[in-house]
Amino acid sequence: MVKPVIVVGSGFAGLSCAFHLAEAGIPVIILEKKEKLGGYFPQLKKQFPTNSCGVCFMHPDYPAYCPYIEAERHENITVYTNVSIQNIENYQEGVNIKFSADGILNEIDGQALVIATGYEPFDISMKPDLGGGLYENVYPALNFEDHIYDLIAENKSLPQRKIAYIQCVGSRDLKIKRPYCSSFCCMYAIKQALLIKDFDPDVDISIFYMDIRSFGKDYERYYLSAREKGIKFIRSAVASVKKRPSTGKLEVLYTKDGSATEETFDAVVLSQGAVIEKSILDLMKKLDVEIDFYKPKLFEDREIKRNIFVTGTLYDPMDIPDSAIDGIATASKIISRNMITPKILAPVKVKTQKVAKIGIFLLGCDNRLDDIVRTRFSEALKVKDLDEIQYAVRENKFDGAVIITDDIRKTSGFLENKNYCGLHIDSVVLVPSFNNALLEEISASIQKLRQVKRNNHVPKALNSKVCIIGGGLAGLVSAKFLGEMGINVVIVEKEDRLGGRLLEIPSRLDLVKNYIKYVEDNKNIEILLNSKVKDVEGRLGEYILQIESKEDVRKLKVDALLVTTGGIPRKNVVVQEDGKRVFTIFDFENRFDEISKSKRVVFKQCAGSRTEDNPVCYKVCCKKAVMSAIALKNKNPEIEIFILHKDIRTYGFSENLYRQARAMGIQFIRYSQEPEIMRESEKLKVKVLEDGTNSEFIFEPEYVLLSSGMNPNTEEVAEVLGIGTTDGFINPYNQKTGLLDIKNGIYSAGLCLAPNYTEDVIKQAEAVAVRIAIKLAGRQLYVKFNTAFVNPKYCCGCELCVKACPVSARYMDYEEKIARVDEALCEGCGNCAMVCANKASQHKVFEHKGMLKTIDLMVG
Amino acid sequence: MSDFEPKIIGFLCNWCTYTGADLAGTARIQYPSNIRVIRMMCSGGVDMVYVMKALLEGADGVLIGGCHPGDCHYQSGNFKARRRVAILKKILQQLGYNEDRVWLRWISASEGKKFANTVTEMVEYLKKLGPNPFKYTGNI
Repeated sequence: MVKPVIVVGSGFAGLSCAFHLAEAGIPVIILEKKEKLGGYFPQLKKQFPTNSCGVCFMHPDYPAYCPYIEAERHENITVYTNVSIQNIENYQEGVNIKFSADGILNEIDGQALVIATGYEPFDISMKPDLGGGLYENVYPALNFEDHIYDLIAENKSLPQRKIAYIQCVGSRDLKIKRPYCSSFCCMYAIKQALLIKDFDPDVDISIFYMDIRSFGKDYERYYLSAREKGIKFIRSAVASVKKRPSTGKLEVLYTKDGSATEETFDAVVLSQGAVIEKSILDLMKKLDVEIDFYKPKLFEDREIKRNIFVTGTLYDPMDIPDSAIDGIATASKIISRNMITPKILAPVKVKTQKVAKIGIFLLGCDNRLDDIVRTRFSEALKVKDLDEIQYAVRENKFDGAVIITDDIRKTSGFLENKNYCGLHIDSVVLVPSFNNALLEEISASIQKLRQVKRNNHVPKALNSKVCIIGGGLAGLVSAKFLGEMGINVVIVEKEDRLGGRLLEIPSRLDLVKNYIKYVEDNKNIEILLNSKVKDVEGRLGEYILQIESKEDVRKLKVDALLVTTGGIPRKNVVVQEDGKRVFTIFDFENRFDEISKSKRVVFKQCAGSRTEDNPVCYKVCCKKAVMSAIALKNKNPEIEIFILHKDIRTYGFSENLYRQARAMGIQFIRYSQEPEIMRESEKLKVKVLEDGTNSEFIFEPEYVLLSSGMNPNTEEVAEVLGIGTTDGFINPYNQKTGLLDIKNGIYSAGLCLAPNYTEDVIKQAEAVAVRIAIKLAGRQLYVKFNTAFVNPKYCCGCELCVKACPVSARYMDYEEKIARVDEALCEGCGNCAMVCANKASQHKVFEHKGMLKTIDLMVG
Repeated sequence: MSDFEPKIIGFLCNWCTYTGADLAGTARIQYPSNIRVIRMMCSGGVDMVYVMKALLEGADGVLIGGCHPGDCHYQSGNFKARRRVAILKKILQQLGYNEDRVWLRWISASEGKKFANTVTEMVEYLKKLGPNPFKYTGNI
């Protein structure tokens, strides 16, 4: 028996960790302090940078990516709520935890503990100078978001016509001992401002900020769109917010062009930062883990003590996509200590095609509803849970069931776990109890069941082989994990060596060499150097690749594809770049000694990026420049360093590096007009106009280092695989929750997906490997029932359905001249059934005849 | 016709509007009981034959609920629905039939209130419009 893993906290990170562990066959126990699972995610109805609804976008494919429902219904997950932790003890092989849940004391012995308690929004009453807690029209941002949703839902105009957002409340503030940056406040403030602007364009919105940190994938465009829509961005610290008693309006005092300015607003919203709860700080103290908010990293390692891990916002302030990936990366550490237990599915067989005896069940409905249903359907049975249904099915020999339930989604999930209570999937219909025409719907469902034709279902076997395109760091990390899990891996690398770009950076050499050594030694991993993927055909479980090397072209059959083609440093982005004295920061480490001997160095941030032509933030350059500057200053304290920037985006705990750099005397100069780099005989000259003070500086540096970022290396691979890209970065399935999945069976990680730090690339690669391993570990593909089917008798081969399918699950069988359905890919939207003129393509659940009958009954 | 209660058939997308209706139900938001809901996987899977069938059978209105543009679970199903509804409305116009009996609305999963409001609005509108003429003139 495998010991369980205990996950404390059920926010996005905690649940995605728990869910992936559970899918791998490891029992998981979730402890949640509050009454309900979920954390802050369900509160946020709209999410940046797409402003789309998170709930609508839940992944329809199994394993579904909405961790909430999944965690609640999963057979390997046990949930305790209202928990308070008494004691944690770790020892060599595991962890012992004592806690009380709903007032009852419990003790659990687990193999590992994951702390994912996340954050708590900053209490604004600690900032009375900004009016926090003093005036009712100074709102905390999270409450104001609810206010916006309510108004939008009721379609009422906003009573506040002039709104000020104040950023960095409770972060980047030494006075209240919160020196770090909370990473996500800039983005959610922009999101709220855009929500208001889209709903009511006349509202005047100003955002007071220090630096706008829109560093994620496509976030920069989001920020620019906010600027275009007329949201004012004012770079200034706000001195005070005071209420004028006569009008009730708020006066905001700030500096503009060097002089104090006062402006009146109807409402002020304070963008709260992330704060770690006091109980967690106490817990850390008990565990003897030092917490210092002034360090550039809160925790040295993810495993803070033996068998105790931290993940999510507690590890580093991060937004939802990063939390999801972080949670899975933590799960990968624990999974690699165990093995994945395969999940074997039994084939489903039926004796007769038609349903003969149908049972009606009332699941968890109140008495009033029972009476209503029993007036027409006297045979309806009242049941408490699915076990009772299973019992009743066996006793009464039902072969079909209509289940009336108040929570369709949950019940359908549990049904899947309970193997459909011994019934054939096609012969179970769920009816929601909230329906006003309940009785009609029940009779319609019975009619529909009588129409259904049932077939045998046999799960499809996989041979579990993954092809990794690109042998850079991301590819190597994923290959290591997959190889450990016993999955066959083929690495296809274009160049003649593994390792990619990191081989050129001395400080990362050891890291990448370790991985290369492991990958070369593992028997499960095959390496193809000097090779390229020329052509791809097929679908999940049966991809056929054509791999071209110098000698020959060979065919390869794999189940899934992982794209980790990485990036190329951007070169020649500035006219004066010569590679000798003006060069990119990528070469910094190789020329460190030479640079440190000079007198003056200029770092130019955003070289050729965040411009009109290329509105991309490459994320890593700010921290890299700051770290390089600190290293130079440490080596040679005499050196003068100037960093020219648009915004310094050292988010999270890297903010401490930025502050350290300033304290060391490194000069930061903000520009909005592109600085000029000139050459006068042998001398380099840099001319820059500082924002805010409008003063001009001219330097004569010996070296100019350009922060130009990395371009993704995806051109060829995107064409071969037929996947979309934005600015060269691969488009994920869903930017918020499905960042690593591209299509069914194609995954991606690393620099080809989004700009990232080395640590984040490793994290993504581990996470994507877990997702692939879980998909392939059962070595079976789930046969889904919510799919389309084709009646070959009527199919004329017109290919309309092939074109209509959004997930390319429909394909033509040219030998038989009919269209077919790939059940593994089909997500059951019914679009193909709709376009089919002779109704050869139909949806199994929403069959044409059944639907017509249903409408008949519904109209009555 | 003061006591006329219109009958509405709602074809709702499983991912957005259906969940929204579910939310309205569980949040105990009051809305008229005139709507009968049929769950579809996607608004793009709603055959216009179904809409016509409902109208011919005597439904006074048909509500098709889909995801907001750009939010479709299946990428573009809601756009397909929009195109089809536009064509259907043209056809209904040609038949001399009031095309405003067919409503297409974008309601997301979190907008239980909006769903309730839409149904209330539709019922009021249909009450003004009177019963479906097909109801009496014939079965086709």
